[in-house]
Amino acid sequence: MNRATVILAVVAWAGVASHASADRTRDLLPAYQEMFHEAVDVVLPCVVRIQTIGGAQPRFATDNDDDAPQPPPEDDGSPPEKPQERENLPFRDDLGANFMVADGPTAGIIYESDGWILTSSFNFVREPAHITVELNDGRRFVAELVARDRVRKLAILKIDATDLPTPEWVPDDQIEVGQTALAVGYGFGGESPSVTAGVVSALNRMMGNATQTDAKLSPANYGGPLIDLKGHILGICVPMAQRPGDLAGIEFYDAGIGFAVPYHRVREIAADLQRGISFHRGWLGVSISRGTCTIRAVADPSPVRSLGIRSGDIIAFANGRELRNITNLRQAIYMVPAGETVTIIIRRGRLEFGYEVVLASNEELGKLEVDDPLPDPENPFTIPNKERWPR
Amino acid sequence: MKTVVIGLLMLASTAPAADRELRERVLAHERERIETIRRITPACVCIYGEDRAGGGSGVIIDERGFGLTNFHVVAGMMAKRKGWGGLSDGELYELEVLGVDVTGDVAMIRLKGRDSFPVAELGDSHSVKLGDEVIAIGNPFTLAEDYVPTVTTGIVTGLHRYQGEGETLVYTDCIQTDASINPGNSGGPLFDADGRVVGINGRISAEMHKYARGRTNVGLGYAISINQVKRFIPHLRAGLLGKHGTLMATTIDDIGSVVFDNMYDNAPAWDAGIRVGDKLLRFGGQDIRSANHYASLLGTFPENWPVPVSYESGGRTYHKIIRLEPVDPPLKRPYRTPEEINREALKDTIKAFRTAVLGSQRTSPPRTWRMTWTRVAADGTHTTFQDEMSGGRSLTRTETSNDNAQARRWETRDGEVYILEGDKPYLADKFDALYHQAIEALLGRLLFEDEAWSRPGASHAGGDALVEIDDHGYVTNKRLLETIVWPVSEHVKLSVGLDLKSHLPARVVIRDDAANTTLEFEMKDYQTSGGISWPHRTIIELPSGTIGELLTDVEIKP
Amino acid sequence: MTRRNAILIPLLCLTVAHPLSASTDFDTVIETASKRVVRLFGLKAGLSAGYGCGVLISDDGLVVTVASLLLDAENLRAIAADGTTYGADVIARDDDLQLALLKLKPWPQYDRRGRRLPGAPVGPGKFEYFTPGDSTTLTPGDWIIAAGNPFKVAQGKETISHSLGVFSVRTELDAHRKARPFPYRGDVLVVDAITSTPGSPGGALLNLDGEWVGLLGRIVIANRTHTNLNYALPVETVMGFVDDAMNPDSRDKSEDEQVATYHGIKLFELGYQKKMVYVDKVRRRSPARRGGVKKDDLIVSVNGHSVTDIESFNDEMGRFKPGDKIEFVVIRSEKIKMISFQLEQAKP
Repeated sequence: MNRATVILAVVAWAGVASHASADRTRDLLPAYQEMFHEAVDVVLPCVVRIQTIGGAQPRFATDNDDDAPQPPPEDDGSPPEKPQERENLPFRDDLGANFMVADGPTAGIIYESDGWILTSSFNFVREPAHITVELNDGRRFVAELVARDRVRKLAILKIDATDLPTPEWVPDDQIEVGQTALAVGYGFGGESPSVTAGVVSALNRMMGNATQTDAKLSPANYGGPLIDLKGHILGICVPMAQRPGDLAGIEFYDAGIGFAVPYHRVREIAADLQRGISFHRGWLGVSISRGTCTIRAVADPSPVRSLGIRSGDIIAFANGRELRNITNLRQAIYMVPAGETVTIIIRRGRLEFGYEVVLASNEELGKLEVDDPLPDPENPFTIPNKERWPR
Repeated sequence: MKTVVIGLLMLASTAPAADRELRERVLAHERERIETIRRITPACVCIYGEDRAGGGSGVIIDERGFGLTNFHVVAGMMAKRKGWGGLSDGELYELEVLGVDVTGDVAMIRLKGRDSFPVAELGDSHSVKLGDEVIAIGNPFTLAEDYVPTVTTGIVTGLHRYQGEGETLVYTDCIQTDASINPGNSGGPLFDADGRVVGINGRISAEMHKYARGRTNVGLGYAISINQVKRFIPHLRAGLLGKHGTLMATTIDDIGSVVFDNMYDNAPAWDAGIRVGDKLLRFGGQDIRSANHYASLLGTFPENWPVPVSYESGGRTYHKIIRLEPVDPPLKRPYRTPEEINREALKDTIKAFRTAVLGSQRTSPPRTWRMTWTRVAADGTHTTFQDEMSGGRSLTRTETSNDNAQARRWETRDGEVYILEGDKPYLADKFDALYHQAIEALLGRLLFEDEAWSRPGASHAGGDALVEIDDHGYVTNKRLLETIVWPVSEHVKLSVGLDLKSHLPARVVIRDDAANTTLEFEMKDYQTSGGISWPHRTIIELPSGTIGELLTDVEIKP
Repeated sequence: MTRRNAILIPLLCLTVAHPLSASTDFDTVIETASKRVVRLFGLKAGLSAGYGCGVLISDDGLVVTVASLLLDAENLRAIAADGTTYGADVIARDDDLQLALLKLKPWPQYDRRGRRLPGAPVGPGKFEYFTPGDSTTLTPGDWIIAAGNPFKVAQGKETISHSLGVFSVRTELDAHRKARPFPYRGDVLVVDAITSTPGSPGGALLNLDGEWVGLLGRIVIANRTHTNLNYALPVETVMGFVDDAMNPDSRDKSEDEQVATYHGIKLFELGYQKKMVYVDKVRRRSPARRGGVKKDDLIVSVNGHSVTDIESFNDEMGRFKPGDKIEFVVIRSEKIKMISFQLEQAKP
């Protein structure tokens, strides 16, 4: 660069300095890059590498996809493993059939300095027999899986260590749409952590459980942190979609649709997880006909059964959302774990009843029972329970 | 403890002033991006079908609620032209589909229910360069439970791309981006870094075979350039079918040049003096690089658009301005404007209404029509009115209150209601005026007059529908209503809600914008007298609450 | 002077002082990359039209690309940035590395009357080309630019696609294509720009300075994540293949220099799909014995890399030199244990 250019540049610099905000992105890329490195360096001491050993067989993709093991049961709120009802279930996890649980190492975040590690429950779908945690300083520990939230996709591990460094979390009210977001993980393997970059896409997604980002998220960074330019944690990366299931959300991998649970949700959930309380998928215990939200069958025992809800009833509203089809119902309750309450409005003929239903876990549900159909209130001549009458 | 140490290390390692300066600029840049997104997000729409299913995106470009989206987002709404649009304020607004450009995959929508909507500024897609930062906003996978859309960013990875096979949904001269565009982003805006709309996102490249990912983003999204869209806006706003233009001449790539290889003898190109074999040099202000480039550019112009063309013929260069011929998009049924659809729906509804009230399709109104009303006020006072009408038009009212009978004649002049006592007219008070307008409109016009609602060209004058049918229905006491919205005067709007099953009026709402009053009548207990069905009980409500009840008996002389 | 240039020049000034600033204009990066990446097209009987990319590495038309079925096409063509079509001959191919070297040649063109015209000549000085950069300086979080022609969107004279992303991590490739394991198992550069799209393989990966650091790899599914991997082969690997292809004599020198190591463990494996590797025997006075490895230990991982079968164990151990410290994770009677020891030199 000759001297004339330098002088010119200095003059230009003086002119530009006052309009610093007029920078175009492309001109700041090197500076952004440097800040990415610094941010990763800040968070790194608090990010751990998790290895799982043993557990269920991995699923292999083959040329004949029919050979691939079926995904875990998923549905709309009806009890699982009732083959006769299968045709009613929008078996959305056929999406998941092509996506398999990761085999590689995964990431976690040091949650509290006395050995509490927060990660994603996705990393333990295969029910591993053993878990090891490697700290950034190279120390390796055997970890115990204390509890997991299979709804919000979080899990907490305990290792026998103290004085661990803990990260800074960005307070919920300071996360802003459009701010830079970096995802850090270990899932690709390799010595250093992997980094993907994007921005915060939206707040309060998934019923207020997640911050959305367009940074590429995948099994490579589920359980790892999503950080801002200072290296503070915006949230913990998890797979999520508007439907229940351990694999729900993995179909969005690398598509610019990613989710991270922010601190205010993490704090609430982690407190329970640390006490060993796990969260499971919540079930109403009903089978629903596809078109409308009419109950076809009720499990006995089940939360709705004990409230007197019967087949033929229509679930009109759930958690304040008007239901027009089975997808609406799923979207209204997919983020509610067993043991928590859903408000539903049942329509029976011309009557409407409001209920608060405490969702049940899979184990608490009984067999699906088809009730006597209710007489059609509009038609006094309906014969109840037709099957009992000869034709 | 360790956190503190790390923090200190950070401070200690902070680099020289120049570095700090750059860091400040990065943070300022990030802050500016956040602010830009905050500014532009309110104008972005999450679009749902009439049954609130499906999903797409859109952007509002005019504060009266006009917005842009993809045709393929609203294709399912074309029968009734109705849908829903959610905004980041968390509210769901009704929307109407206006004009569509089937070939170019663009549609104009209009949101209703607010006096003024947040607006996005349209930019210049010609100024976009490769590598420019862009912001895509929309509702991928309908994740926006609260109607706050998803923001994704990326750069421009291609310009002047051509995407499309067949005759519809062709993306000519479109912008390619690596910002994540997913199903549901369709119709949403692509902004430049300054927050101006440079394109409408609508297409992605995706592999659909067995081992592929399916319909998620794999780094290639395409946006219709806003400059193309701008040329079609007048058509679309008027509810018309957007038609593209053509030279009726095709070109091929020859060594080092683009030459005309085919044209119709009535082609505008022929009329301008172009012959097969001539070289195309410039089209629409751009140097033509390839036959593909010409086809791509041509697709951005509407019918009759004057386009500058430079060509070389016999060694000489000519510069001409050529008007393009219209191309009819392939449609299975003839295109109907929302106005035509509305008028037909209105006709059907009014027919059903008349049949319901009068028992048959009457052509002439009864000579006299006497109604006895008993107004029961909230305090229990009874007032009795006896109204007489001839031809349903003028109204004479006898008011009996405290045994005191008074006869008055009512008249509407220039949208104001006057009461005539002898020859002296005076303005009726607001309540009575609104009531009169409702009765007159309902009985006089809706029931017996054809012109008021079927006046051709009445609707969509200046974008305001004069009489429109709003058949979404809403639930009042679990009744689904079909509503006819009808401005009776400049500032008074009447909406008649007909029960979807019986087609009898169930709810009449009158809104006087000037007086800022709303009066609601809920009609119940239908009685039939002389072949005419009329509600016996009408509950009158102001926004503050129920103010009284009308008990009506109708007596009709043919 | 436009506003953008006005900003850029002070940045150039700062380059001298600090690495934070840009040294190359982003526009220039895109423009030069477009000229140095060719688009490949080919047709093979019974197969649909294939397409991909290649990187020009000499001024007379040497192109390096990934090995794929496309290369079997009888009419393999390369289209340059200016829209000119060239023919291409495959002059070397390595199925282990999944790389191929092509040489461009004139391709006859036809005018619209069907007359055959000579194609654009190929020769020294004809092409702009990439000289290899350094992939080892990439740090996770560095910007990268992936230049390719995904979904063959760029036709004729159109500019290929350049998407901006960050370098994620450098790791060994462990992947499969359809149901088959992918032969290349060396280092790759994982990026967050999507490159696992048809048409991208063979394209160039550039750093922010516009230096060529990698060759976009074929579409594979990573075994660790079970997702499509977006990655590039490091330019050093690519140029190693090119050098070998150009000078066949220099091959295999490095392998001879490798020194064998000794650990003293004999293994056996159980299982069908997911195998488990158990210790069969540990030699007396061997490093493994001293470290505490015992018969019937289930070996889970070696230095953090999971052991899936005996081959992967041997692969892993083969990376070390005598004297290197090894850390095993083993399972012994349901308990997890960590064991470490030092490798010794193998006795002849």
